[in-house]
Amino acid sequence: MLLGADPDNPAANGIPDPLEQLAALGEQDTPPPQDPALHRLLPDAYVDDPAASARARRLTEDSLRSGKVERMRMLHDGLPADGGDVSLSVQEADGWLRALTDLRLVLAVRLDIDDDETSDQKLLQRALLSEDDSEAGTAAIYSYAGLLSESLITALMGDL
Amino acid sequence: MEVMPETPSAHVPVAPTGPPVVVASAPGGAATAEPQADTSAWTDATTEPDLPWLTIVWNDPVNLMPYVTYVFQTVFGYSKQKATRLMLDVHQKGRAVVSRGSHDEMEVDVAKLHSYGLWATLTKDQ
Repeated sequence: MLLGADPDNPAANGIPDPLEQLAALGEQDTPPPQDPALHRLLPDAYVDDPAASARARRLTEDSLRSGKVERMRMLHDGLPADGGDVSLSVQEADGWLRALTDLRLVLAVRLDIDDDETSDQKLLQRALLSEDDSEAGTAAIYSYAGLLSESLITALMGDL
Repeated sequence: MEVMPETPSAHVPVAPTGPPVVVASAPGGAATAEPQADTSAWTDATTEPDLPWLTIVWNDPVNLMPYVTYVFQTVFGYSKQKATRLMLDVHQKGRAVVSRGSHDEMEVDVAKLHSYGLWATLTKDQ
């Protein structure tokens, strides 16, 4: 043991475990995203434990982010420019579903869809009919992504 | 599977057709090389060797009920019946325990569920 640390209790003599220090070099715990929509895509892993959540983020957030970006790009690239039928493998359909879910999670935050289902439905209806084109468009995409997800799930569930 | 491809979770069956594997680009492969970020493993070796941890999924207004069932089947390999029961628990009771295991296994499960857009957390079993 380097520095005479007690193998059974490296912290006993106040000397930090050197391996622990090496492993932590250049590794900062990751704070949660400020944007509430991004925070919903990358939620805290622990309730009421910001330190543990930040530590978990350091280990998982990079790959979570790159996976979400990858799938969103796959969905975007897979959409035929001039419309028409799309044929997907089971794996591609899974990627589409997850990308569509991420899309809906973000739009839901933008539309203030919260946690009361009845008022959420009313809110969505109101947004669809909004004079504000941007809000109506957001609500329309949210609804369409939901319909598309449902049809993909119906197609996939036959394989499970 | 996606978050830590080199650490298959042995505590649950894994669906044969997994999602596209995206390998983490963490510097030095830190995500797999240093699984024990917490210090609880050596603070007191005489107690609590590895108490079970729980993965909890919380209700949210966005995720569709059949999608949540699909995720439980795909991520954990659960039967349609079990996945549906857990989905209904989430929907009706606001939350459900979807898997149990070691701390590290549950962190992997939570990250997998986050990759599917579900709102999941882990906690120590009381």
